Amino acid sequence: MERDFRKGSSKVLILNMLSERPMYGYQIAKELKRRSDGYFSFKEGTLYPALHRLEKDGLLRGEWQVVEKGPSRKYYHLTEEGRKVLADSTKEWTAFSRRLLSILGEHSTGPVST
Amino acid sequence: MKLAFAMGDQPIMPVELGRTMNEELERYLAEVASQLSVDPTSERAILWEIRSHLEDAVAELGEQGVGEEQIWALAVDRFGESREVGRMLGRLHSESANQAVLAAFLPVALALTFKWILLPLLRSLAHWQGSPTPIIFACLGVLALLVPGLTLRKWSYGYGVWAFFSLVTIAQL
Repeated sequence: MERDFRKGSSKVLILNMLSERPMYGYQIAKELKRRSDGYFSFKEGTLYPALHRLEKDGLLRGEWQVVEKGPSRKYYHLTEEGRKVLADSTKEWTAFSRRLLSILGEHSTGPVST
Repeated sequence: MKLAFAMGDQPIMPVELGRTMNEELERYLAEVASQLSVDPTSERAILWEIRSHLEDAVAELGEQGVGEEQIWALAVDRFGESREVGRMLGRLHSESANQAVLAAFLPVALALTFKWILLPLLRSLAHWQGSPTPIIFACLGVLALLVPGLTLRKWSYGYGVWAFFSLVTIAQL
């Protein structure tokens, strides 16, 4: 999963996190781990190339915020373009996982363990 | 060094980072920087982001009661190897630098096109002879110079190259 984080599901997961509220890198890493019970655990450093890539593509907008006590942080906001891409990706991933599960379900003798 | 850890609505809890750990952090950031090769402004921003992430991680591990001597090793293990992180970020950010250089070349390419192709073509038409063409070309040249500045948002890296090509362009006109 570590190296794969940059590809595949990472984009839709990050966009999804940020659709609720703007967050900074550490928060995103923590939330992803918490919500997936550690399933989507990855080297946290790989999150930043992913975030910067999304920012370059115009799906996210980074904004530095100075906190009164403590260091300033870069909060990532989802842009309108990001919102559109998230909607499309969510549809694609839902269709993909439904198809996959239906195929696996046809041939498996027991329940699929995770 | 003052540190703060904030998640959600929890209060910010400043903690002190030990001297050894601080040295480790600086060394780690220097190793990331060694792989970056981006402009100083971007480098500062990237390193600051990594710094605050690691400081948050250290503060949180401390709160969880992890032993002082294990904290840094654990934080780095979770974050990833410094040079690898630097390489990934460097690759990503050099792409835009290449684009900037390419865009900076645009004015000179346009100026040369004007001078060697369009100008002789227009001069071959009788009524253009003696007309104020240098002014027209100067205006077109200036417009061409503005193109990269208007299209690229993060321009800092390309400024030097842009200035160079702009001078070449003006010299050509």
